[in-house]
Amino acid sequence: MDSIAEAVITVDKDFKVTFINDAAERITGFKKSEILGQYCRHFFDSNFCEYNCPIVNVLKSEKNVYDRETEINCNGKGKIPIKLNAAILKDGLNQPVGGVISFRDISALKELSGILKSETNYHGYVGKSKKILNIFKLIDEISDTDAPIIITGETGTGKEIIANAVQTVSKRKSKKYIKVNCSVIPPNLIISELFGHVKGAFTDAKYDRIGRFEFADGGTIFLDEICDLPIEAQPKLLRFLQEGTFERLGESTTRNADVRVIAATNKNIESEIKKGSFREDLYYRLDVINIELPPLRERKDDLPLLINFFIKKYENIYNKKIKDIDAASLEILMEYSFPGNTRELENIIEYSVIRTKNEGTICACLLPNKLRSKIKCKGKSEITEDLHNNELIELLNKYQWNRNKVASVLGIDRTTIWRRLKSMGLEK
Amino acid sequence: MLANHHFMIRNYLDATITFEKVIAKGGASKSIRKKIIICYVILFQIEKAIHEFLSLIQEDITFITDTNLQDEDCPCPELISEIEINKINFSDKEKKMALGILWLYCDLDTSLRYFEEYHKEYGQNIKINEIISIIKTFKNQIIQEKQ
Repeated sequence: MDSIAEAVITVDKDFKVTFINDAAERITGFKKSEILGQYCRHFFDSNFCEYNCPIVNVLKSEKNVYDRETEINCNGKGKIPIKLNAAILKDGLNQPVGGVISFRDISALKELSGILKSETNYHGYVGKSKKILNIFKLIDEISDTDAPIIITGETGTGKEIIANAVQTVSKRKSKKYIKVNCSVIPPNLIISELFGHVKGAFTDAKYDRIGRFEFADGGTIFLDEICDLPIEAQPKLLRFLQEGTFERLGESTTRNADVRVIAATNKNIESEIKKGSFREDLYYRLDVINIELPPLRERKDDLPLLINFFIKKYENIYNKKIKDIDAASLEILMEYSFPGNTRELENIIEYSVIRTKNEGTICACLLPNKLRSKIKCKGKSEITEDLHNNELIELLNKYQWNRNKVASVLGIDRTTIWRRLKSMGLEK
Repeated sequence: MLANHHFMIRNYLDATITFEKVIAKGGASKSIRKKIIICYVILFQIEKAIHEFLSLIQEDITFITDTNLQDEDCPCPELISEIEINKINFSDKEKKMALGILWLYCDLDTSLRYFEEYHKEYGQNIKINEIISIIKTFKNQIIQEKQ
C-alpha cells in the first residue's frame, strides 16, 4: 500500500482512522502518528464530512463512490482539491466494520484546466500574440459554417489542435469527427479507405466495407498531410467537395454523405501544384477558409506562456513541482529558432522537467545538449571563484539590485550573493 | 456504522433511529447503549434514557465513567453547558435527571450531586435510588482502592 501513488485511508466503525499509507501522508501533510486513532473529519474537514460523507453514501446506497471531486483540509497547505473513491469494509458476516477511501491530489490538473480555460488558451492552443489571437477570432467567426478549411503551417505548429478547435466550436461538435493521415495510408488503399469498397473490388476485398467519408456522415473529417494524397485519389475528393457524392470502389451506385472537410499540410501547396503533385482545382475547392499558422520563431511573445503551459503539463505527468525556469534558460530559448516549432519546445520542456529535481528551477544546464553546447552553466560553488566583484556589481546594476533576479540569472542561491556582498562590505 | 456517523455529526434523531434498528437486530453493544443514552436525553426521552442508563451502569459503570471525552468525541460537555444555561429547555425535574446522566460521562461527583438533588426535591424514584446506590458504591470502591 505504501508503494502506490494513490492515497489510501481506512476508518473503523466509529470513523476513526485505522490506516494511512505513505501517499496519503505526503498529500495531506498529516503524520501517521498524529492521525491514527483519530476521527477522520477532525483532520480532513472536507465540505462533505457532515452531510455527504462518501462512506455514509456507500452505506446508504450500497454502491461504491467513484471519482468524486471534493476538497480536503491538509496540514499547512489549506484545502486541496482531490478525487476520491470510497467503499465499505465488511466482516465475514457481511456486516460493515469500516470504510476505505482512496484519493489523489488534483491541484495540478485543476491548475492546468484553469490555464486551458483561460483567454490565452483556445481549446488547447496556447498563445496571445496578435497573429494567434486573430486565428482564434477567425475560428469563432466561422463556427456557423460548413465550408471546407485548409490549415497550413510548418511541422509542429499545432495544425491538428487547430483542426480540433474548429470542430469543437462548430455546429457539428457533437457529431462524428474522423481523422485521416493521408501520408500513412498506402497509396493503393487510400481510395478504398476514404470511400469504401464492395466485395471483390480487389483481391483482398472479401466483404463490403464503408469508407471514412461514409462513416463520418453528418460530422467532420480531418485530412492531415493532404498534399500526400495520391494524385489519382484527388478527383474523387474534388467531386465529393463539389457534389457531396461518391461511389464505393468496385460499385456503380452513387452515394451521398454530408461531411465537413478540414485539411492540413506542412507543405507549400503552390509549389506542389507547380510540381504537378497536387491539383489546382482541388486546392481552390479546399481553400475556402485558409488558416495559416505562424512558426514559433515568428511569435516569440508566446514563448513564456507556452513554457509555463508545458511546465504545468509535465509537472502533473511526472508528479513534480517546478518553481520556475531561470532567466538564462529563457534567454537561450528566446534566441533559439525552433525548426520543430511548438512540438520541439514541448519536447525541450518535457526533457528539462524530467531532469529538474522536485521543487527545483529549470536551469540552463538542464536544457537539451543542442541548446546548451556553448553555455556554461555556473554551479553554486563556481560562482564565488569565477565572478569578479565588479562583474557582480555590474549585474546587480543591470537588474536594479534585484538580488533574486541576479541569483536566478547566475543559477545560484540568493544567500550566495548576500554573502559575497557582505564580504565586500556592501551588506550588513 | 451509519448510526455512528449520525452521532458523530450530532444528528441525534437519525442516530437514535439507526441505533434502535441495530438494537432490534440484537446488536446492542455497550458502545451503542452508551451513545443512545445521550441521544435519548437530548431528544427529551428521559424515561428511556434513565432505563438504558441504569441498565448499563448495573452491568459496567466504568464503561461510562472511563469515557475519554476528547478521544471519543463525546458531546456531553457541550450538551451539559447548553442544559445548564437553559439553552436546551427541560423542566427542572428532567433537567436534574439529564444532567445527572450526562455528568457521569465527565465527573462522577457532579453526577451524584444532581441525582441526590433530584431525590431530595422530588422524593422516591426506584430507578433514581438504584442509580444513586450504584454510583455511591462505585465511589466508595475508588476511595478504598486509593487508600
